[in-house]
Amino acid sequence: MSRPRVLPRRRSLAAAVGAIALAATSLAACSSSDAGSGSSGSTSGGDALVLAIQQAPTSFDPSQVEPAAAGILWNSVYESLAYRDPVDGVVKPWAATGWKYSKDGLHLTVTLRDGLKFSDGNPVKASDVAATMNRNIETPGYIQTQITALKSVDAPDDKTVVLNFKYFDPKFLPLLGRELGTFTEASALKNPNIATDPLGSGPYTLDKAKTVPGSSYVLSRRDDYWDVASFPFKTVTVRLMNDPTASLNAFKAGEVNAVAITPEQEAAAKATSGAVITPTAATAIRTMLIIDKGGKIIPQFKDVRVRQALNYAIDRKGIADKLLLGFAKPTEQVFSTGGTVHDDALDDTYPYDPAKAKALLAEAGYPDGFSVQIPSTNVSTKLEPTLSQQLGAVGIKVQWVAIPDSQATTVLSSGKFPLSLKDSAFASDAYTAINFLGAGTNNPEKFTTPELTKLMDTLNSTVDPEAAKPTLAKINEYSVKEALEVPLYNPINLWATSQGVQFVDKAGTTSSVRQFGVAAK
Amino acid sequence: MVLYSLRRVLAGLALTVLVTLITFLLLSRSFEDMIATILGPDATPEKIAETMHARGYDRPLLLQYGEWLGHVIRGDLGVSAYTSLGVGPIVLQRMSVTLSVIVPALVVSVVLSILLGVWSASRGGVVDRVAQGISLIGHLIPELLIAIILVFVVAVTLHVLPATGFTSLVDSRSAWLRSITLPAIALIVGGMANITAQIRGAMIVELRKDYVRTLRTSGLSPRSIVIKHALRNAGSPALTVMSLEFLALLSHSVIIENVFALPGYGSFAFSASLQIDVPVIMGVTLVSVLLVTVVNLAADLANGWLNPKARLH
Repeated sequence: MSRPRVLPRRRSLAAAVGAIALAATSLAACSSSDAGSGSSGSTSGGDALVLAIQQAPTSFDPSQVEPAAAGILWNSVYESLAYRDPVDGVVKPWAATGWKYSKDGLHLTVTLRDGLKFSDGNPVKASDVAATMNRNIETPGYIQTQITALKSVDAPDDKTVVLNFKYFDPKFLPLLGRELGTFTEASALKNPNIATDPLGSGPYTLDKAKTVPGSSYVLSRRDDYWDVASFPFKTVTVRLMNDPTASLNAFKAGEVNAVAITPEQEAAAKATSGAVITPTAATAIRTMLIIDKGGKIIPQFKDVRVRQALNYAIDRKGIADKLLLGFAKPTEQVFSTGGTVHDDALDDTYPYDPAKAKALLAEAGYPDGFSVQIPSTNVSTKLEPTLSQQLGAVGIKVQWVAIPDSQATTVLSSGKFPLSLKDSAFASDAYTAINFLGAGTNNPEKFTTPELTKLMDTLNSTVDPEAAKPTLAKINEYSVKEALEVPLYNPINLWATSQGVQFVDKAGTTSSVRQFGVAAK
Repeated sequence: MVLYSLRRVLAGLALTVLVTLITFLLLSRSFEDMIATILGPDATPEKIAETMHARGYDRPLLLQYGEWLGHVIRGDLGVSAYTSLGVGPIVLQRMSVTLSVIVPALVVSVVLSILLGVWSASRGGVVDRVAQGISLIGHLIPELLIAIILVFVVAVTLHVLPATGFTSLVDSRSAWLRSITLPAIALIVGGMANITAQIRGAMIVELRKDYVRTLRTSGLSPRSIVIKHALRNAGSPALTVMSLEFLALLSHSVIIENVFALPGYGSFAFSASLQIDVPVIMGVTLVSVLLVTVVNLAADLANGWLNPKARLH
């Protein structure tokens, strides 16, 4: 049945066409008159760094700052006592001119540079540094977990800071070049808005008028900064984009000029006009941690042959080349290439050899293998089918147990899983030793052996970092030979830059403006 | 009508308390994970327990919920566990971004849907098939795909409009219009699909009724019959669809805001859920439930105005 026609045809059609034409004209007018304005405009290369990050910054409170991607914000506004040079990876003085440990390692004396000023014009005094650090000791948060050895901080005069320790902590000094050396003016610690209203002596200030917390942060360079030459960008804009595809689109549209990309995005980013793709240094490590080395859940893991079998069973090179498209450096040691004790020769200890793995399992009394549960997190998801297949081929049946990402940290100490995959960022060789083989979180069962205890005791009592290197090298060698972990590979990430910006970091340092430079024209 | 509205408001408040209580109880299983994430990878179980105690997360759950509710009644939604920013101000700020995209999208969807729905129902033929085609395409193609295509063609290839970012209406009207155009178009396509189909269907039913034939024979103009009589009667069910569409747009904004990197409510709620930022999740839940209640109430009141019979229920 046909419906009755009740409206005349021509007039309504004309109205609709007119409305669409009007809308299109308005938009085109906006487009021509407003190009480049607001947050959606193109970047102006050379003196402006505009980068996209995926994780929102937590806080500008010095007791809560973290070395994540958003670290570029706080370590631009705040100076730190030291910094890790992105070119050679060496920890160098920044707000300090130098430091010296007492012989017993229980006191660290730091001398401040002359002429430092906070952005409000007040001079930096040692008492500001001491007040910040003493507050960090008392305030629960990320920093507090890093300074458990620190007892108190004194300021005997305006230029001298003395850090007093409960015990010597060999991993402390390198962390001064990261978040531990950050400080603010003592009076600013009483500011109830310290989380969003930072006052630092760093090269940039937070432009609060242009900043939208949780979305876009704008930093303006201080013209009165003492080392302005080391910071070529007049403004740094950090835009938060949760979705990697949105970040890439913003880069391709010229809205940001620096973005971290995935290997799968490389071709698309490269096609952007003027784009330069730079791989990062392979410093972090993805490891299958053997949490249960003491054999509480899986008694087999007490046997070194079983742990060695795990290492022989995995085809690291195949995973790096095929699954990760070459953006990973296979390794068999937890000590990073960013440190000084990584030994390339040790990376040939466990070549992929399923037959040898099976033989070792049989020799240890497990010819039929065994079953094991491993938490499934965002770290493991991509590797799970491959690891299941490779471990299954030698008789180790893997069951992946889904765990929310938020539980990735607590699952290690839950006592439920004998193995777990984890990414660990590089901070220093001493940090790696303690984290994986000492009292750190990667060794939640605090497993040790008489030999390892002896080596760790030596490390924990050697104040001179140079003198500690042979001990660290022995710890590295021991952990590989005893197969205390199953290191897999060092991930290689990519940065895409354009419009005169380049990524200059060759040492895998934490996020900072120092990682970027102006490309030569 | 006043009694009816009061009853609905009270029911909405009861629903809000119930939903937030359930949310809080469900979240309570993750308090420890939240603290562990805040403290970072080097936090020991002892330090996590100590911080749980210091922040009061180890107290009885009903006591904690009651305390939260007490603060909410005083207008204090707490602070984010991660950023220390006030939950109330951030939620309002994020909601303003989302509303400044979805309200224009809904208005355009409604206007175009009414035009198209009425036009196709009253004219039939090619116009009707075009309307049905648009409706079908809107249902078939996901908003995510539409958004990706728009970004690729309009922003990345043609450089006509921005691919990402948001400018506030207060800062610049023209930049705001540019920043919301692509996200709004992506939402309009899906929104129009539902509303057009509803209006078209309702109008066809109305136009076949006896009173329309009577009006036509009594000499009333076709425009008057459609707009003053048939559309008013067809508007009631369409209003319900519109209110549902508003809430659908709010939930779809999670996808659209991620694609266009808009600092809106959806992406904010999504990030807070992934992080288990308990105070923020509670704030987002509270505002969402209140918003649903208000939108439904507004739709019911509008229905009552359009259709006197609805006021009796």
